[in-house]
Amino acid sequence: MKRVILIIVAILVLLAIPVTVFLVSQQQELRKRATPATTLSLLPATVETTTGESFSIDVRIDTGENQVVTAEIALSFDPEKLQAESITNGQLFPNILTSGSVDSGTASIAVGAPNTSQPITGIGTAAVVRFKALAATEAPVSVRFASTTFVGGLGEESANVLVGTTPARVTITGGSQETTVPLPTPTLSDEEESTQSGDASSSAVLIIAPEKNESVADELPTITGKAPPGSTVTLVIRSNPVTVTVTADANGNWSYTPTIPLVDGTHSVVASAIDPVSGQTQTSSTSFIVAAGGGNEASTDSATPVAGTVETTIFLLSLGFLLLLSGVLSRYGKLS
Amino acid sequence: MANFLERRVSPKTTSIISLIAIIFFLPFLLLVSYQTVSLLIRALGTPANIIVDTKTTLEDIDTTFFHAFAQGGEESTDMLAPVVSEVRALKPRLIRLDHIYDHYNVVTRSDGSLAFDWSRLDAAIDTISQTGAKPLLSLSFMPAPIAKDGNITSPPENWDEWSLVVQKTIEHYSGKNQRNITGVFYEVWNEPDLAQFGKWSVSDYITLYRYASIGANNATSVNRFFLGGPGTTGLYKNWILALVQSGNRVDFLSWHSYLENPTRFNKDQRDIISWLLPYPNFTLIPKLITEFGFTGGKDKRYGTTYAAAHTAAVIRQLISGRPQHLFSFQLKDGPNQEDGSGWGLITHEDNGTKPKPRYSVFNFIDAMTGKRLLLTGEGSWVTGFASSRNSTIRVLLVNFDEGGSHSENVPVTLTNLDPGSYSWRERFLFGRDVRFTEVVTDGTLKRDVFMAAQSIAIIEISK
Repeated sequence: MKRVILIIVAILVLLAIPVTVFLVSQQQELRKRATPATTLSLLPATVETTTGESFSIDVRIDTGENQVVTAEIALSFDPEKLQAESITNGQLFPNILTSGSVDSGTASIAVGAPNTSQPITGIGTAAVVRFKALAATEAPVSVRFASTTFVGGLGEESANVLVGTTPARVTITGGSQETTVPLPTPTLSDEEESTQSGDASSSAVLIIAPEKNESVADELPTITGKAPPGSTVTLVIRSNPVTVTVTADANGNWSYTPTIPLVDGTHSVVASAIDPVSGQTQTSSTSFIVAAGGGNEASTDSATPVAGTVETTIFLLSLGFLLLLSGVLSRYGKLS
Repeated sequence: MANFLERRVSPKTTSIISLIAIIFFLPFLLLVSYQTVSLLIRALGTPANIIVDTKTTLEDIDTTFFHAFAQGGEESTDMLAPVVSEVRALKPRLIRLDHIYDHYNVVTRSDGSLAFDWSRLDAAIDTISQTGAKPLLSLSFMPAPIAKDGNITSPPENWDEWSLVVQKTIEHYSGKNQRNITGVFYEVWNEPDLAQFGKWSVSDYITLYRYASIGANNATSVNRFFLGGPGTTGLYKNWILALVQSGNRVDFLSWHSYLENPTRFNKDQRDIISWLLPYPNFTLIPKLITEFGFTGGKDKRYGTTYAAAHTAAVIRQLISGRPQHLFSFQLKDGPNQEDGSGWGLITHEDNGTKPKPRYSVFNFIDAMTGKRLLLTGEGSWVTGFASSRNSTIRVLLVNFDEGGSHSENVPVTLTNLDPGSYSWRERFLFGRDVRFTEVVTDGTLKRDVFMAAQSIAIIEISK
């Protein structure tokens, strides 16, 4: 009898070892694959300044558990009140991937970690934007993250790990001689301005389909989701950024079907919406794989230029004009 | 003629011919109108009004990225040997060689097995080492003994032999017990999309690359090296994405850029980063423009200040946010190019190994290292950037006109200066070098700088 018990115990131990190893590895995998949890915010979140003065705002990143390699930051603001003078990288991101670009009402830059083996985690400055106050404001104006903002993370199901953004508010008073006086720096937990979407709440924007890492055979996959009823949902589909807006219906449902076929491979979607009631911006992202088995995509227009000659064109044009002239004048008997 | 037509052709026929002619030539008329408008718009471009905020510092400026050069295979010899000292003076970090298999007789077949003779290629690599650079080897083209029909732009008869050739190449140059060179870049093929080099389809190229990566992975006892591609004639999204999605080892991405408009280089950089964002494992791998110029064809402007200004204007576009290396094509002219149309920075030895204007650009712009300063007001022709180092402010200005003739008087204003007396020096790459003394009382210093067509200048301001 003892022998039988011993054998059973031995079998149980032998079975328990691989099961334990499997469960532990699963747990480790769960730890490795933290869900997207990165937020971006602008600090200081409120600025008071005077017309003609310049001031800087930091783009702060909190990566949560994510391992971030890139951040493509795009900001939008009222061009009649504010002018972006410059945007450059912050200390946390030593690698400028695309040069800072400032335009009327926009500022953008793409920054990166030193390399893939040194991803960024933690809280710090991703970029620094310098503004000039152009005109006095009756009410505070916002500096917001555009829907094309993208934070790339390693080892996640979705390449874009950005889940929320916090804008800044700028109040400009008249005069030009006073010194810029930024208000005390609010924290990220400022509920009035916080726009983190995170896990779904009753008013959050959600992408329902395609699901994360879903493989779709259709090169024109319909993207569906939920958002606050009546809100405008901005969708950014990559890798070739396509930005479209759709409106959520009375039940909060929205959908979009691309009009241009998506190439085979991984694509990401970022959906953002402004709640019509609260005015808060919420974002959600996912990625999916198109496996339609399409052929080669045509090259971009940056092909090697082909040299041409003007002589042929001039000859053909001359010939055409001669024919036209002779035909028309002959018709009306003007030539003799 | 009209009388003849009136006698021989009915009015109805004439009308029909006129209608057909109008339909046929209308597109040409529209094209000519479009080009005329384009020319007018260009002529009416924006002049520059440069303003440098001397107190707003941005990132550090790194000028090493453009000290990379490519040498084409216009001769099957060690082409750089006669110009080692001239090339060394360019302070090259990387030098790219292509045609390594077909010009240096590396691979032979003996008794059914492959044999490797590195002696001729070794000599070329030694020459590169003498210049202070490391090699970038374009794994091109197919060694005739393993190629289908002996055609060097064809696939091999046996893909495993191509893998072996790549493995042996990497083991020879990166092998710790062989040439022991660290950090060598191996680029799979050269311009695979071009008919001249096989016009490979994307899928065929991925096959070529896959067997190259197998060879790379089989290499043993080697230093760190980089394998990449596709080295196409331009930046093509489908080639780039096919490579990153292929599952093969890809350590860097490369392409060539022969684009007259310097701003296109900036656009390409933005494009490739945008395409790679969904592939975070590839977003940060090195990007290399392994050949660049304003045209891929031979052109006499390569021997003029046009080419020099184009290079400086491209460097300005990439000074912030750029590929890891920008390879100027090419170091030395081929033979029989006395007419000046060769791509070289230096003329062929048969033509005196004389440096051309483009040769002088690289070291000239090195003076711009330092902290980048905020510069605004660039125009359609005159562009630039500013830096600060050791209490000296420098402003690089380049006037590049694709039309070749535009000159401009450029207002240059420095703001937020401390009061005092300043030295203002205008140093042109191929022109005047003058100094002025200016007194600043209100924090602002302003002078007009005349920029002749295709000119490059550095303005140095120090207290």
